[in-house]
Amino acid sequence: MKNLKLKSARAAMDLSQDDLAKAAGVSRQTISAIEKGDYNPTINLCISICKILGKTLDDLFWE
Amino acid sequence: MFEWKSVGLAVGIMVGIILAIIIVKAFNKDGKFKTKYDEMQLKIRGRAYMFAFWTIVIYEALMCVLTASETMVLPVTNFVLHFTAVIAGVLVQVTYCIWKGAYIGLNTHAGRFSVFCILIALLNMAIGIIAVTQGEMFVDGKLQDPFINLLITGLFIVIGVELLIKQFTDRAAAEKE
Repeated sequence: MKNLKLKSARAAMDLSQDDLAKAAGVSRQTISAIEKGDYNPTINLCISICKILGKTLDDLFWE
Repeated sequence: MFEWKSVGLAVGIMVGIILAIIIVKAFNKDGKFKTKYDEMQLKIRGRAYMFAFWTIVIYEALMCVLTASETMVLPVTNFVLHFTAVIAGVLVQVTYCIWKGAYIGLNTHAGRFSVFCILIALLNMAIGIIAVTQGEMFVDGKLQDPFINLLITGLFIVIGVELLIKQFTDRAAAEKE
């Protein structure tokens, strides 16, 4: 299932997938896969993404 | 004669390992030997190693059956026969990683790596062509060891083309996002 909440939160901060990937220390493909719902990230990566985007785990990753 | 060949092979492998360490350090942006991968890339690479492992197992099992029955004589030396398994395994691992975005590490300089692929392909192609011109490629109805150089040339050309296509499709996807 696509993670549209992550995509919209990233877009709201005017960040590209590449910008977010670099900030989180992962590849652009990983961010793309998370947004597409092709990859289920670990809790550590979820926390890292939330901190960068100023959101909570509930905001971005809880259905 | 056979002993000298073994010594030469051992020295060649050692020189190859030392060169590989120097080259890997050169095409990592941070100058470190270890290439960094993120969690998704590590997961994909694990699956790629599994596919490569089964490729080699199936290939070797097939070759055991073919050579043991003695009904079929393969037109290659034993060295070529078994080294081909290594090349097949590498091809499967690399191809899977490239298409899933797990081949180029977080600290890998993709441009330098591409140049390295081209150089390896050219070097092996030159050795293969020299062997063909000197009539060393096909002796007594069997493909000889220099055929490996042509296989490695093919391997690096395939890797290079796959990397180019993947870079192109990734760029298109990034622009579309």
